[in-house]
Amino acid sequence: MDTKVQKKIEALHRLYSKNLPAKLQSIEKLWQEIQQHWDLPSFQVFHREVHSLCGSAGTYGYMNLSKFARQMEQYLKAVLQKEVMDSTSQKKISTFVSQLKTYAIPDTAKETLYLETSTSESPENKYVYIMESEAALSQQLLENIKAIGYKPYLMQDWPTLKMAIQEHSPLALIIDTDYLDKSHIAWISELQKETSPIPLFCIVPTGELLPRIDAIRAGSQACFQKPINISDITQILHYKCSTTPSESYRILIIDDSEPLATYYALILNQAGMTARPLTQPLEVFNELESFQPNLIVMDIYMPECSGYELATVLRQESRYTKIPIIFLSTEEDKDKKLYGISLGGDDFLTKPVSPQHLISAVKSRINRANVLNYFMTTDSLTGLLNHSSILKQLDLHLAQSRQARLPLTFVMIDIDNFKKINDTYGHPMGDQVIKKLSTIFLERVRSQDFVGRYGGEEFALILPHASLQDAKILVDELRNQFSQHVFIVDGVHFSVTFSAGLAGFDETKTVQSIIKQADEALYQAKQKGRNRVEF
Amino acid sequence: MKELKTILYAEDENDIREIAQIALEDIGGFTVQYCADGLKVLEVAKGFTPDLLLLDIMMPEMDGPTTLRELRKIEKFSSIPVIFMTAKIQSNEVAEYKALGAIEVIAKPFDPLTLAGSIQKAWMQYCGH
Repeated sequence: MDTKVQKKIEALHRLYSKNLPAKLQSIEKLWQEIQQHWDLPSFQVFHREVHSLCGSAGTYGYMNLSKFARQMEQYLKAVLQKEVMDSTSQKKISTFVSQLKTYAIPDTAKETLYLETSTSESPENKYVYIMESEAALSQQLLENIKAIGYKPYLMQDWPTLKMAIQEHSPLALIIDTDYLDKSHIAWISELQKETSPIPLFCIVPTGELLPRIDAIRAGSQACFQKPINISDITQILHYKCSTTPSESYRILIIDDSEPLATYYALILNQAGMTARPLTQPLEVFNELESFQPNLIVMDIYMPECSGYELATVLRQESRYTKIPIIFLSTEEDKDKKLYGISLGGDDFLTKPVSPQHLISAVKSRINRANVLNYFMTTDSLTGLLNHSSILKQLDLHLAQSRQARLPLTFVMIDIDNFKKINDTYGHPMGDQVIKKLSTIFLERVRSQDFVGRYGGEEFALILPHASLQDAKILVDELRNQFSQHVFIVDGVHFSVTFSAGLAGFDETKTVQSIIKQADEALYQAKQKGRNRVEF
Repeated sequence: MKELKTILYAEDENDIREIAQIALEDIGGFTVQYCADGLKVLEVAKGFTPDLLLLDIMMPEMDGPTTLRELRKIEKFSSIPVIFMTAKIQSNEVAEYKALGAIEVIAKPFDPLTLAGSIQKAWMQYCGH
């Protein structure tokens, strides 16, 4: 950028920072006046001031202030629509006003808006801290976790771990329950309550219940029983830790009362979720399509149709049977609540709902749905996407490529002579071969790629933004790496190869036609002698 | 394709107008006529016909959509493309503003370094329709 322009911008930034305290003070003053003497026009001015703060603060590098002002503005707007001010709103607004100043700190250079769009990314947190007393297992964990691209460290004892966490907060902790005594369970569960909790996974010695209870008390998200299947751990790490934390849950709130819908949305937004209010229940299909919520909160009594009716309709659509629904109502009658649950509601909250209650109900439902979703979308042997999920992703990404006019390559892979491996070395060995190939895929593909187990020994890769040439280079590397791996069974050494067919995306391609083309290329590869990549 | 040169820009807030000035003139190279509110826009419109209108939605006295409605009554302004700027950016609102004839809705806070680029892109899409 032109240095002259940069200087000008910097000067404006300085000026803005200088005037900001006065600006906030004037907002405070307006609020004091309104409290002493309520009238609508003053409140409108007050609302507009907060509204413009939301716009200007972000542009001048006060992104947190901007976000906070946005929440406040939405709340004020809801009050404005009611045209009355009750004591609850008054208290709430006073809290907003008093907190406003605490957000008036400029973002650090890294976070400012106009640098955010630049290509330099902050280094991803890849640290995994492990506490395991068995030396062989520790070593195995270390190697395998490193192989899938994380930075694992072994911790000898609690003081070392505490120091390490202070120094550099890790992406995840893996701790053997042997280490969990009462005081440390308490310490580590406190850790989970912080704003950015560190996921904890535990290793348990046997099938006994007690160590698992300890693990749960410490806040463990998953338990692994000895003897450990290493690929289970690497899979779960990938699954639980690879999604970016900024990608928040989307909640759709259906309530015919706009102030209430906005209020609930505000509560959930403040808890870090993305909530959207909908006051027209009949619009629900459009909203589901465009917003793709993870969960629906709906009122029971609405003029156009009741929440019960709406839930029944949704439960009859195969696409929406899985989405959790929480009913809201003033209903105290147990039978009616049970009726709501029988229609496919997952929870029933009685109005007035406290913010804490709403947040925790929503969070627990989403967590549960995510666990189920994991088991429904992934293949149990490999942890890769299963057949129907990879097709769904393909459909999604073809649409994206069409819209963004970007390339995409679809790859079909088949292990060569797999039947012979099963027949010669037995099915457990066949499973090992499949697992090994899956691990290689997970290690090597980029985070935007998708890997699925298409059938028995068949795999599918979706490589968004990759041209056929780039894809061929990648798949050839995968092929080489896999063919060089030596499997050992009863002292016999052997290696395995695969063949692959590639198909690139163009305007005319559908899910069926791109699969067909990749399949034909795969057939070519097999015809030409296997262990090769064709397109 | 017609080149985008002149813009009539209405924004009631000084802070935003100043940084937008750098974004539009120094970075974008456009010629911009600034107005602090909708009424000013109507006044300026008597003597100046821009290639593009850039209007803030929420302004005291006369808001962006009303200003646009008034401008559309003037013959020279009946088909000049308009871009709205707003801090409220819910998808239903965007649709609403587009229905009023906006070729683009730019969210506030905006990034001063990419503002001109976003406007240019909307302009090119508009010309290419």
